[in-house]
Amino acid sequence: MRFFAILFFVVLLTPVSTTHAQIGGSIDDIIGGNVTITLDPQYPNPGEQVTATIDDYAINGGGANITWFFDGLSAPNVSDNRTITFTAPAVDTPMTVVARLTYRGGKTLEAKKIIRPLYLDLIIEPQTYTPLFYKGRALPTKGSVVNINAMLQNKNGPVNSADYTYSWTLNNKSVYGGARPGGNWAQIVVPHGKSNTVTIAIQDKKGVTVARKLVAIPTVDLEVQFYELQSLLGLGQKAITGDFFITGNSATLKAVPYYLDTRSINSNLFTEWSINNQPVQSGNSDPFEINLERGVTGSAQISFKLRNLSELLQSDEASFAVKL
Amino acid sequence: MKNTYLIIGGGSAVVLLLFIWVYLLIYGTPKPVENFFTDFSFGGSTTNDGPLEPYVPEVPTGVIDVASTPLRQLTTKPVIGFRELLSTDTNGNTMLYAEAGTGHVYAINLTSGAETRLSNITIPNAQTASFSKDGTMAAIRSGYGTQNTIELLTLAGENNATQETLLPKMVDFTFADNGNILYSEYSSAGILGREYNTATGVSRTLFSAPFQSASIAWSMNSTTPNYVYPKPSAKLTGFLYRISNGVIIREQASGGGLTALANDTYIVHTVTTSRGPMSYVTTRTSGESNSLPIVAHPDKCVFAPNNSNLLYCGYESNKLTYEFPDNWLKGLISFSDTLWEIDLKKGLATQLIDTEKETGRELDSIGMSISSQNKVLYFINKNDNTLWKYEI
Repeated sequence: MRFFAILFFVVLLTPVSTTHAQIGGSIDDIIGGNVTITLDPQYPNPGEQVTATIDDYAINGGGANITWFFDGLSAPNVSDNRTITFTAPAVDTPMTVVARLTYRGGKTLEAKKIIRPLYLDLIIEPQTYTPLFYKGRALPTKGSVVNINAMLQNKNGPVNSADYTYSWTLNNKSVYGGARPGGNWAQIVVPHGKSNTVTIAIQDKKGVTVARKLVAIPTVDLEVQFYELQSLLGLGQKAITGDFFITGNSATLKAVPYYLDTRSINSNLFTEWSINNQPVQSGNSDPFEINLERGVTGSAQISFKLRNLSELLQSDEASFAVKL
Repeated sequence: MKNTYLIIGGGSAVVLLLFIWVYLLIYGTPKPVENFFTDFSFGGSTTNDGPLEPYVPEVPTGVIDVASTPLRQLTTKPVIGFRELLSTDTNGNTMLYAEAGTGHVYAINLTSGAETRLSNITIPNAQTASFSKDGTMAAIRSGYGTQNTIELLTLAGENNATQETLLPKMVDFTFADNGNILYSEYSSAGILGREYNTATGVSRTLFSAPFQSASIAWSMNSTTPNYVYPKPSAKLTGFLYRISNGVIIREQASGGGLTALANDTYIVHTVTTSRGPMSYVTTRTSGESNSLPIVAHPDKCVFAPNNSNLLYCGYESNKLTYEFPDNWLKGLISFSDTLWEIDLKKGLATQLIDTEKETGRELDSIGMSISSQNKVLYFINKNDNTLWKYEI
């Protein structure tokens, strides 16, 4: 059992490339197993800061001097450091990292790791609503659909996804039940938990993992904002954040439901306008619009409620004051 | 006799002192001399009390004030696109602009201030416009939503414009210097960057990107590539890609809320960091990257055409939060910009003008553009969509 446990951890910590331990001289006074290098992040992006740590807890060597080498050249100013930080090489460029432990009597032990960074970008495209003038990206709400594209790139650009297999997990559960050849695209429904993480591991045709990434999927609440709608100019792009003053005889306002699940638009929605807490008909065929006629005096509080009946956590109520 | 003089003198002194006392009682203590002198302004001093009036120069109707101060409002109409045309004769340069809502096109002579209408073709709900370099064509988006067509106007003298509806479903578009239209179009696998030949009506694909929610930094000239990145949000990571021979190549820049602009020498990108939004400049050849002293948003910045080291931006630091750019793009906040000149080679930023101090109005610059001689900045005020110019 212990053997399998150790084997499990060794396999887990043996990722990008092979790690070798080479022993020079006798090991009479060095008792235990191998020495390895652990990287954080395990699969760095090109140019990313990487922390390398020597794992020699299984060796009862003690008191060894440590020298680090990058592509055969010894690194200055890091002698005897068990942990060092360095910059990953350019995309698709291999770098050999060696940690040499020198024991009393000149005996040495080396750990080696080869990294060849590739870009792995997870592009998140939530399928939620934003108005067409909005130049930002939509955000996920609970229960909404999110498309995720895993773009693996070498120095020539995106790789041919058919040459790789992709394993997706959402909160540690496989999205598709296992690895999929060419499956660089995934679609998930955002769970109700506060934190959701997606991981992707990519293997080449030899079964070697070439990249792995974890990303947190942020979730936001549905957000209603109000804008003035003018017959000539269309939808205004300045949200009503304070009091709204009617300058003419009437005004049309639109409630814009940022981040509403696009599947629910025009179906299965509860909407309600109210004036001074009294529900009213909006006077418009579009349930998100309301026509306001200028009264004689005073002000009024206008409210709008929105609820997605298919996903009750997608709801919001917002209000503003109208003044003459 | 002597007593009479003394009484008169003493009485005069008492009256004088009384007068001074009454004066000080009413007007307060005198200010230092320099304060009096700085009060003698030549107009333009403003107060924030009461409703703001449009900053309209007092000139006859149909003539725009183009010369009184370095910072001037060129239009009172809301503007959705503009372009400065260089003069080939002595008549002076011309500013073309399209009016929001109607799509009517106007021309302002930047020397005389005379304004004429070039197109009276009404394009309902006109939302965005782009002009060809020679000013003979304008592409205008008619309304969003179900209509969402792009109308191509051929401008042939005053009120002699012609119109045709472009067939491609353009998501984003701009005129290239060669007179063709660069645009993006959704595909089943993402987005396509395409070029529409205005002479033949034929489109060709320039590149594809495997995501639909894309922002494109179109090439400024033949030596600058196109760039594409996912639309920005402070809560989601963006990545910058350069288009090279139709293939997207990853650049180093990435981060939350990523936006970018580039010229032939530099890439300037902005991301949300633990210290809030930060901008960085990267030299394209060396890959060397440094932070910038201001936050540079693509809509608020423009590279100088004749000096690749110079970047001009509108910028206000006070309202930059971790929610930027989302809250600004939604219209929840607006800025009151100062205009800056940034020397990217030297790492120096120089403030050119505080627009609110100068005009008494909040100018939230977008669509920043620059004249070909590096002398005039043009921008739209996002708060009311009016067009402004600033002489550097």
